[in-house]
Amino acid sequence: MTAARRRKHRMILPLIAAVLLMLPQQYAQKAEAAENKTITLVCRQDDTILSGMEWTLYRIGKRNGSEVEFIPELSGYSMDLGDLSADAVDTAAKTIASYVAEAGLAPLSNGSTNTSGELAFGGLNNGLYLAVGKTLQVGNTTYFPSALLLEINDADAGIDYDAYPKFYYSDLSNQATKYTVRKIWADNDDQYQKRPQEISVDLFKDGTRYDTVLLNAENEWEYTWSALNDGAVWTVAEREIPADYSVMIDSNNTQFVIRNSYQAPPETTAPPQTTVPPQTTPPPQLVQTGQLWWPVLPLSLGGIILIGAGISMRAGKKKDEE
Amino acid sequence: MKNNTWKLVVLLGVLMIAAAGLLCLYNIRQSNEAAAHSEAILETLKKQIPEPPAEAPKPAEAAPVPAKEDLFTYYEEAETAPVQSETADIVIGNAAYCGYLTLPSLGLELPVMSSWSYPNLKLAPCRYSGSAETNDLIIMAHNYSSHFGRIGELTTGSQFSFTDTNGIGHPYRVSFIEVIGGQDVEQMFRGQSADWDLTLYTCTLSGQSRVTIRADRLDKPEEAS
Repeated sequence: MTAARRRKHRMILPLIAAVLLMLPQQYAQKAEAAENKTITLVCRQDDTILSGMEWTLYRIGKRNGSEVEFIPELSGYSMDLGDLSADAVDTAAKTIASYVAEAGLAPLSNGSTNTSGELAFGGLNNGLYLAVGKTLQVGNTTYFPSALLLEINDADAGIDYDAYPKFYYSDLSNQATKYTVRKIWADNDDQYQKRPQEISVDLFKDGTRYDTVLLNAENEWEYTWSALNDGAVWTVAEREIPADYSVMIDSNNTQFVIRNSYQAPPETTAPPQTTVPPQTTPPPQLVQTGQLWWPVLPLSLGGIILIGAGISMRAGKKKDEE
Repeated sequence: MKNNTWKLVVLLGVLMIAAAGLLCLYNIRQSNEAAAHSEAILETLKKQIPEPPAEAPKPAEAAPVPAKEDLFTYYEEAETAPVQSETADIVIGNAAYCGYLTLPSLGLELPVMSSWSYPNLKLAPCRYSGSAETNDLIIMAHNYSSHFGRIGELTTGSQFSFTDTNGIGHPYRVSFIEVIGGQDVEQMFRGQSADWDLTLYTCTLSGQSRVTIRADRLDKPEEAS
C-alpha cells in the first residue's frame, strides 16, 4: 500500500466511523419524534369543570384506508363499526370498549383530569386509541362518560378532544335499577339459517366480569338483571361471535343492544339481492351484447385482396401469352 | 384448369365481399327491427305508466327514524323497515318492463325490460341487475345504433333519465366512462351505490369488452350525516 493510499484510508475511516456513530442517534431522534404525540381529554363545559375524572387509554390498532386494523388481541372479534362517520363513531367506540373488556386488554395508560378538567396522555404513536372513563360524582350529580375512539395520524402533533360526558344524572340514589340486554339479528329473519341456538353474553361492571348469561329463542334473546345504581359503568359483550356474523353493541343508561349482522362469506360475495327475478342473476361473464360486426372488415379486405390478386394473375397470364 | 385459377381467385374475393355486405345488411335489418319494436313498446308502455304523483314521497321522510332513547325500538324498527318501495313491472305481450330510458343527447328513448335473456336483448334494453330505488341499477343493450350502439358518444356531464313504472323520473348525470373486459363481472359491480348509481353498458365492436357508462343520480336523497 502506497503512502498516499494509506493517507487516504486514514481520512476515510474516521468519516465512516463518525457516520456509523451518528446513525443510532438519528434513529433515536426520529423514534422520539414519532412517539411524542399527545392526546388531551378536556372535561369542561362553560363553567363546569370536571376534575378527578378517571380515564384509561388503550391502543387498539390503526386505520388502514376505511378499515380498522386491530391489534392481535382484538383482531379475532368480528366487530361491525359501521362507516366510522360522526354518527357511527359513538357506537363503534362502545362496541370496541365491550371487546376491550372481553379480551382483558392491558391499558396503555391511565390518569385523572386536573383542576382545569384536562388529562394529557403523552408519548403516543400514530394510531387508533380508545379512552374509557369512569363515572364521576360531583355533589348530587353523577357524570357518565362515553367511550371515545381517537386517532392520531401524520397530520397531528397531538389532539385535544372534548370528552365532556353527554349524560349526567342529578338524583342518582343507590336504588335497584333494571338493566336489559337484547339480541337483535340483522339477517333477514334467519334467511341464511346460520343463527346459533344460543349465545353467551358477558356482563361487565366497571370493566370486571360480573356475570355470564345465555340468550336464546326461549328467553326471546333478552335478559334483565337488577343492580344497585351506584354509578358503575356497565358493558356487555357477546362472548363468541357466530360464524358469518359481525357484532355491534350499543347502549344507553339501562338498555344494551347486541346486533349481529349476517356477513356473506367472501367466496359468495354477490351483488345485493334485489327484486330482480331469478333469471336476471348475473352470469359468470358479462352478457354478450354485440352484433357480429368484426368479420365485415377482414371479409371485405380479404375479398379486395383476392380480386386484386386474380386480376394481376390474369394480366400476368396475358403477358405470358404475348 | 391452370388458366382458370385467376377466375376462382376473383370469384372467392367477390364472395367474401358479398358475405361482408350480407352481414352488414343482416345487422342493419336486425337493428331496424329492434328500433321498430322498441318504438312500439315504448308507446304502449307510456300509456300504461301513470302520471307521476304531484309530490313524490321523499324517501328520507317515508320512514321516520325513531328516536334513540329507546334503543330496542330504534334497532328493531330499523330491521323491520321496508328496504325499498317496490315498483311493479308492466307486462306487455309476454314481456315485463320496469321503465324507460330517455337519452336526449343521443335522441333516444327506449323501454327497459325487467329481466334479461338473449331473445329479450334483441327487442329492447334489459335490466341486468339492481334497481333505481337502491341506486345500483345496471341496464344493458345490444350495440345496435338504435339501442346502445352510440352510448360511447355520451360524455362526462351528459344528463339522461330513467322513468320507473310509477311514472317517477330519476335524473342522472354521467360521472365517468370505462371499458371493461367481457369476463370482468367483478369490475362491473364495483362501486355500486357509492361511486355510481346507474350503469349502462354494451359491447364494443369486437365484442371482447363492454363500453360502460357510470352515472350519478341527481335526485338522490341526502344521506344522514
